[in-house]
Amino acid sequence: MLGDHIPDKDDLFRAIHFPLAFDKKKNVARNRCWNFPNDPESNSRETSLIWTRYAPTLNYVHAYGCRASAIRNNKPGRKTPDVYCGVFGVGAGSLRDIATNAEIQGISAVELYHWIETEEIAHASLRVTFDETRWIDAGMTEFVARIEEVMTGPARFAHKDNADANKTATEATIPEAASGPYVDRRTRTERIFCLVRFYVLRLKWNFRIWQARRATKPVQEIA
Amino acid sequence: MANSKLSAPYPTMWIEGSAIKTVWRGAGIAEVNSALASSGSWTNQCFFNWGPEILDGSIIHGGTIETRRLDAHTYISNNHIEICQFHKHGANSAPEEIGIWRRYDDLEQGLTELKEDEDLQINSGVYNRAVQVAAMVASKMFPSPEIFTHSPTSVVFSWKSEDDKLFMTIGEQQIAILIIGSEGGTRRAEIASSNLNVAGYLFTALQPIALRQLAIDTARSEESAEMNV
Repeated sequence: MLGDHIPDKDDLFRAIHFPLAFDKKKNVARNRCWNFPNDPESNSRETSLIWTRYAPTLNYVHAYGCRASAIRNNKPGRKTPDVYCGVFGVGAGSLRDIATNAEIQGISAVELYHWIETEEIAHASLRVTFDETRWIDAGMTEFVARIEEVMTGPARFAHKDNADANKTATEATIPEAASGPYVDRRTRTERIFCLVRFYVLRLKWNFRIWQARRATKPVQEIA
Repeated sequence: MANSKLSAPYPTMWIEGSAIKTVWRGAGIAEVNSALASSGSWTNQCFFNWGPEILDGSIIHGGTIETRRLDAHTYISNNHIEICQFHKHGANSAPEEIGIWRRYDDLEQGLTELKEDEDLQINSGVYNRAVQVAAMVASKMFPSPEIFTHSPTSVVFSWKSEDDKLFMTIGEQQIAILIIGSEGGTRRAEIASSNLNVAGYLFTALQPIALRQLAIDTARSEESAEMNV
C-alpha cells in the first residue's frame, strides 16, 4: 500500500538482523546489511527501510525490528533464530543526494517511498534505477559505498527479556558508521510534535488497513 | 624462524620501467618491522622491487639501504589462493622465511562461504573469476581485500587507506574498478574480466598514488583496455 511522501529532512533506519546481516564470524557484512536483492529482469534494485515518521522514537524503531524478527522466527523450518540487533540511520535527503552529488554514472532515479508492507506502517522502500549505460552491479557498489559515507549508528538494541537473544546481539560485531553514532537532533518540542503526529497518522493508517483487510476477506475465504 | 604475517593495510605501488614498486605504510610497517625485528634489527620502511621471476628486497635501516635477495612464489592450485612467501637469503645460511601473507586465507574462506551461501549464493562462474582475480591481485603483492558486497552475479573486493577507498566489482564477464578519494574525487574503469592481464595493469595503474605519479586517467585506462580486449 503506497503511503505518504518522505521529506528530505526525515531520518530512516536500516535494521540489522542476525544472522542475516552477518558473516560466519559474527561481523556485520555490508552486503547483507544493505542487501538489494538481485532481479535479473529489472534494471532496479530495492530494499527496505524504517521511516521515523511512523516510528518516531528509537523505542518504536526497535519494536519494529523485534516484530520483524518474530515474523521470521515463526516461519516453519527456520534453523537459526533471527535476532534483531539494532539499526543504522540515514537521512532521506542524503540518500536522494547520493545520485546527484556523487555523480554516480548510470543512475536514472533514486526513489524513497512509504510502502506499507505486512501491515507495518513504518515500512519504506529505497529503489535505485539504472539506465542501460551502466553495469548495475558496479553502480550498486558505488551506491552502497556512498551510503556508508552518510549513514550513522549503530543504535543497538538490548533484549532485556531474552538472555539468549541479548547474548547474540551483544556478541555481534557492528562497527561504528563513518558519520559517527546516531544522534536524535530534534528538540524536546519537536519530539512531542512527532509523537502526536504519529498517533494521529497511526489511527488513519490502521483504519485504512482494516478497510483493506475487510475488502480482501471474501476473496481469501473463496480461495 | 620469524613467522609473522605481512598485513599492511594498503601499499603504495607504482611502475618504474618494467618493474612494479611498492611500499607499505602505517600500521603495516609496524607489523613488518616486528616480523623483521625478530630476525634482525631492521627498522623504518621496507621496499620491495620485483620483476617476473626474482624478488629483491631493499630495507632502509637507520638511513642506510640494505639490499637483500628474496624469493617470491605465487601460484594457484585447485582454486586455492596461496600467496607470496618471502625468504631472506643470508650470506652463509639456508633461506629463511620472513613472512607469509596469511590474510588471503580469510579471503579464500570468505569466497567459499559466498559460494555456499543459502540466501545470497554467488554463481560458480563469478566465484571462479573472483578467485582468479584474487590470485592476480596477490601476484601484484596487494594486501588481502575485504569482501565489500556480493550478489549472485558479482563480488566486490575493497581496500581502504587513510586517503582513498578502492573497490573492484567482479562479474563473470567484466570487472569494474572504482576509486573514491577523500577529497571527493572519483575514478572508474570497466573492462572485460576475461583479460586479467589488462585488469592487473589497470588495478596497479589505478592506485591513487600511481594515479598521481603517472597521471593515468579513466579515459586512458578504458582506451588501453579496449585496445587489449
